[in-house]
Amino acid sequence: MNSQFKRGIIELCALKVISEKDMYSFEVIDQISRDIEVNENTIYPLLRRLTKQGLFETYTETVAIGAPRKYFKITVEGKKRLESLDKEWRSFLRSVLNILDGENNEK
Amino acid sequence: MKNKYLTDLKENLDLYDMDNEEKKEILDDYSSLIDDALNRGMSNEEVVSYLGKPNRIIRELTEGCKRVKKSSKDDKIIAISPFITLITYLILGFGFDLWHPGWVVFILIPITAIIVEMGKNHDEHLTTALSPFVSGMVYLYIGVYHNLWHPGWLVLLVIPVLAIFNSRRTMKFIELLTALSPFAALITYIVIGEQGYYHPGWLVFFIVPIVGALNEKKISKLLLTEVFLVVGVVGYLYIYYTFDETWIALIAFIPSFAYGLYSGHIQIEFGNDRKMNIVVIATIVLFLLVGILTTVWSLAWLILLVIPVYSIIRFSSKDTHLIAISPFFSLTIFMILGVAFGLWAYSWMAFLLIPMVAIIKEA
Repeated sequence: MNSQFKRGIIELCALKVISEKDMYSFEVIDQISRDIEVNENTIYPLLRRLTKQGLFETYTETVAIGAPRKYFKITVEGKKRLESLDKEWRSFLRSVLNILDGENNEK
Repeated sequence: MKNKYLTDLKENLDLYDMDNEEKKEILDDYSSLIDDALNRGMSNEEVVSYLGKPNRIIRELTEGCKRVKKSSKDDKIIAISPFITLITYLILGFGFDLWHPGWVVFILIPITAIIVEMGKNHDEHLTTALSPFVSGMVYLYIGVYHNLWHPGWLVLLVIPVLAIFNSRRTMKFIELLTALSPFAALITYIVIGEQGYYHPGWLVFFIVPIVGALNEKKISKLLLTEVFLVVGVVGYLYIYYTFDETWIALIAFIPSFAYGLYSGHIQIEFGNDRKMNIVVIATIVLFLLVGILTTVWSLAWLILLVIPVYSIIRFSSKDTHLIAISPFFSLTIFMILGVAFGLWAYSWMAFLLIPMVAIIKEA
């Protein structure tokens, strides 16, 4: 799969999973890589980039063992971006499916 | 693996013009990611492939940052240091007949490079990198001029102690104490041992589980563990000094041992690996036999090193066998030459085997 294409999908997935629950980096990677094959990890750099863009904010929480953990939380800006990307992708997928199913040809 | 990964990542990050705070944040995050992955039971290789090799992920991590041009001033300082050192050495030699110990000035070459390279990035491990040179020199000085090779070698413990202390940012305070406690115990043991109290001075090693138990979250479990440990030590001392019987005194530890098993702090597991089980049992039996028959416990414990060495050979990749085993060989040679032949003045050289093996293997 084209890497730019995949990058867009991963961005959408990261926004989605974190919108449902605040997560730490490993949790996000773990969750996404269950469904999408991620070869050389790009999720952490992506989380940083989206945080810099103001789509996520971070906070730390102490844990029983080890150093305090950094959690990612979606911002209002992030929710808006998720909504717009979600719409874009669904519309894009519908169009692709239409073509693959041959619906346009039948009309 | 974790240290190597983070060092590689840092070296890659240092190639880019990035704020030090940001670099620190990335390194901290990757430190947590590695811990999380290892806690999930991933192998070292799996973790690296899961997170991506540092040289492959660096482009994404440094997006928008320019590559830094190495300061030519730094290069000049590093390049000129061998000449200055050589001139200094020749002046000391010809001018003052100080060929020995004048050769010591040659350590200025790596020290200069380390200070220039790590100092400009305010690297928190600068003192860790300098510690082998400084402690090595101090060790040679007190050995050569005061013949204190033993227990002077304790000064070399500065190296791991500094390495741990400089990593304190990634640890909780109790974890830091736990990591430092074996060194504190060892130093105390040697100091009181040299006063003639090696026995029962070894009890000082109980400081390690006593501090380690403080990591326990459940207060009741923590208190019980501490009480059992302290009661074991006090009981041992009481029985030993009352009846003068070491073996009987060991009975005092039975309650602590039993509680350790009950609480899960002590776990005895025999896996399905028959060969490994046989090696472990045979090694322990051999250690006890040699110890009891010869009473040279100060050397007999070296037999126990067979267990980690065997597991390295069995379970690690062939390429890393020699490097991984070299510290055990060095330690064995160091202890045998020192304890059995009193050659502490030379035995330390055994540790030179470790970097030598690594360099030969990696070259």
